[in-house]
Amino acid sequence: MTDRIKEQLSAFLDGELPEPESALLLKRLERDDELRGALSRYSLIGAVLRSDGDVPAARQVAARVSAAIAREPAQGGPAIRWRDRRSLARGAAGLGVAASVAAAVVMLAPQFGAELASQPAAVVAELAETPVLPVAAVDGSAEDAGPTYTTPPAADMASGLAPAELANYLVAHYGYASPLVRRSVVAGLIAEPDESGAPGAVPGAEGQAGQ
Amino acid sequence: MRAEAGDIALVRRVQKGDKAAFDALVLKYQHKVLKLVQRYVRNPAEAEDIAQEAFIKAYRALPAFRGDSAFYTWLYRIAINTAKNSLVANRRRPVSYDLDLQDGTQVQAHARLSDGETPEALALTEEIRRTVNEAIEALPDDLRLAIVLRELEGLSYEDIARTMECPVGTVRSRIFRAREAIDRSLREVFDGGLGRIGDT
Repeated sequence: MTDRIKEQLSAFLDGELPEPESALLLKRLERDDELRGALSRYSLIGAVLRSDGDVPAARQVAARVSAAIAREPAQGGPAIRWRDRRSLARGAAGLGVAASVAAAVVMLAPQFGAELASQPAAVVAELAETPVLPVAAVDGSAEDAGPTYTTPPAADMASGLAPAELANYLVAHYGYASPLVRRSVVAGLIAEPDESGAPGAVPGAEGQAGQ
Repeated sequence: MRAEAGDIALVRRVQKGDKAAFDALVLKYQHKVLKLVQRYVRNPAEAEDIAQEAFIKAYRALPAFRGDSAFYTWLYRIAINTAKNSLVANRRRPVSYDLDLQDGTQVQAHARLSDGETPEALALTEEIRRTVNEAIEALPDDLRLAIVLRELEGLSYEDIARTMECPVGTVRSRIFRAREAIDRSLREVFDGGLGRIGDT
């Protein structure tokens, strides 16, 4: 480790190293334990100078945090992010319920659809008792609200197999069903939402809980 | 201000997936965070555990960090909460603090500390303090003034250059040489058997 590198390290600690040099230094820090040790001691010197009292020397913190972070998914990439894990957990918890709902729908859909087709609209709504959920919030304010969906337009319904209320019921529980069940049950009723999450997309705006 | 901008640049790197940038932030702030935590928990091993947990929490929460406050102020809050939660989890009475959360560096805490600080840790801490102060006193005037203006007054290199009437490059060099001189003394302390710093 040359003095030139250590001088860069000193400037880096003070936030005075230009960005391109900082990037190179960070790469060097990743693989140079001696350089990491120097950064740790330089920061300790500052802490001692600024402190009225004594400053304890952190001996294992950086190494242990580095090891722990290495096991974490990197941020900003396709990896699952922190708040998404909660959504996944909620989804997993609802999977059992979803499976039973889907199974019931599979068994009842044909006769239900036939009955519904002969009923007036008001009676159909009463039978279905399925709330139509509001349009998904996109401003991130409904962080814990879970997935919400809109009723697909009539043009999206496949060959008019079921009235809108039944479709709403299925779509409202769409997020709780496994992909296999979704395809088998819903494919004939509604168009599959695309990857961009057009209908029923879960709000993706970042919360600021950590602020 | 420059240091805060540097921190924000590192944070943005972490948010883009650069874990090495977070390592750098840990190396930079581990001593301050540990000192903060030791106001709640004297036992060095326990304090290190809590500091570690605070950094990991910070890493996980970093996607939500917008940069409205300085990174250390944000990290400081996380560390305080982690230490308090640890005390509660261990059924200890939380200590009473009068904290200025806007500026974690100027906090004056008068705490009742829990037991557990070891004589070895006390000796190391005292030795570090003594060594740094003696090394500062032994520096040539221009080096000492440069590092004091930076570390104690918090001036940017540009402001230090104006104060000392020299180029910015000279300031950068002086601060580095001051740190290096102090670091040589520190390394002797750590190599002398009292402990090791930087075993990262």
